Amino acid sequence: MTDRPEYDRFVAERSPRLLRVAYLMTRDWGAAEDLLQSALIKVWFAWSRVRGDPEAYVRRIIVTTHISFRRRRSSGEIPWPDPDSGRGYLPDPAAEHAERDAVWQVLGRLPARQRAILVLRYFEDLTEAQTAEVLGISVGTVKTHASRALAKLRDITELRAHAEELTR
Amino acid sequence: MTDFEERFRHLLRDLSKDAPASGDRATLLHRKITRRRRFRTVGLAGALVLVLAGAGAGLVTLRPAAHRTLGTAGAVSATPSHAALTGPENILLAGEDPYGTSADGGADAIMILHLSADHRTGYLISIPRDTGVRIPAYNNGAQSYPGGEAKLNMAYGYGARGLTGTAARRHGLDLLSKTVTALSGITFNATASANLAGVEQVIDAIGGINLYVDEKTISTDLGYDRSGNEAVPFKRDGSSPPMGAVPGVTPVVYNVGNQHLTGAQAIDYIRQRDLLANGDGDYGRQRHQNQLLVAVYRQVLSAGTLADPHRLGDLLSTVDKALIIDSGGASLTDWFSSVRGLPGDGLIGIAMNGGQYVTAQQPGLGEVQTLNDTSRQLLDAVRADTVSQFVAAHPDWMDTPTK
Repeated sequence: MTDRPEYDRFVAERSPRLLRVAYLMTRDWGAAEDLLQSALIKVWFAWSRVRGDPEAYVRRIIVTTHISFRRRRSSGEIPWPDPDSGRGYLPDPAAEHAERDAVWQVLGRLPARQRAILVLRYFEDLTEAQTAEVLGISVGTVKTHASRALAKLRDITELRAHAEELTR
Repeated sequence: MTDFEERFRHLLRDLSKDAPASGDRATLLHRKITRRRRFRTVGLAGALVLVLAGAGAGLVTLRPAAHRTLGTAGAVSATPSHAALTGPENILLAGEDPYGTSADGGADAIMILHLSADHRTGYLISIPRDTGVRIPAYNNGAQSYPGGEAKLNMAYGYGARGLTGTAARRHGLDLLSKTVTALSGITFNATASANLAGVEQVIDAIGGINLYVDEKTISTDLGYDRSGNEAVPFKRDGSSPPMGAVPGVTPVVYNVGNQHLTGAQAIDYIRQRDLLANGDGDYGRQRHQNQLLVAVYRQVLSAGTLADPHRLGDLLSTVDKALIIDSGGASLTDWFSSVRGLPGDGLIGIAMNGGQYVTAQQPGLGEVQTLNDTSRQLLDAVRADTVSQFVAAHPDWMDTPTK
């Protein structure tokens, strides 16, 4: 891509970080790579129109692509643990990282938009206003979704901690 | 920020680093298999079934199609030539995913169909969609792409970008074809792409398919509830792993032996890669796809389909609607007659890299597949029409059981 060296540099420098955002959204490294790749193609074509921070632009594309992707692909492929591996992708709840695993599970069950809000707020450290802008929704909606999602997470993690104390 | 929010923040950071252990070959391989989008691989079967189904039927009634203008913009063959196509032929087949040329669509099931000079043997050589390639510069009239390093499956998107419908598919296919040529040195006499829905329609048009199921396969996608209604047998959770069986829903099981399947069942069967009795995952799936192609081809050639005017009519209109072909200047009829001599057992599938993952890291792209030296020899053999010698030297590279 000889005539867009800034794009090449941007991709090389920022891909690892953006891949992590995509991973938290999709919970699967393969799907995350596909999502990032799809977003980067879009960005390449929009590059001349990107004003200001390209990373914010890509982040927005990743998140909105994923939300619309899931909406349309609801019957698409889903990763499945290898039946022979005996452990697969589902973490063992008895493992020492029980809380971490529980959060991972709950995160996966959240609607895509709620998960996007959590990732943007707590992984990308955006403000509520910035998150609202990325997703094209109101600040009020961000607040509502964030508190609902956090409540679900808090429930499950506290419950699990409690259960562990009882069985200790 | 509350304590809980702070804790959650740390957990997210922790989780984002949770890559599978890179040294664990099995994990890595499993990841690779898992990431395959079933639809995408299956789309390839669509292209081939349609080309071959058309081939079987073409001599008889496809003539009207030959008088339509075909080919990509600028390369229109208005006057059908009826010269016989002789010598070795290379056809690029692309399977389109169900989203076609939409923003997220692509064609990343990619296969070379090589016909030997006598047109008695065909070789199906699949190229990994994640192969790291140089995509050449391309202008589709709507957008210009200057060329760059990317994965092979991105070529379709770059070629189709900014266009819709048939124009998008043609240009996607065109850039994909140019990219494979740059990678392999092979020039194509024709290119074709088709989608999953097309294969299903073809199978229904020929009255279902008789297929030998070679390992017991439990469907993760198709099942029935207690009232006999169609239902999904395993819980789906968006892109996350399913949480287990859905109570009250019995999955469809494909048992070993000769089975008669409808279009929908056949498609479901060749999509499966999770609950295969032999645990051969993606390789099993690809083998089943090859077997389906051969079965469809045989069935189309059988007197039953060709002699039944109703089935034949359905098949022809299905093929006509579902397939995008750039026949390289020759008429479709010529193409069909040129591959018609291919016997049902004359189709041999070959797995690039011998079916093994050969993975490299490329900045900005992540993991890509590379072609090993033997794969390069295979491509050379395609150019020289010496694939039969290659196969004789590498019998383990064939993935279609010859029986």
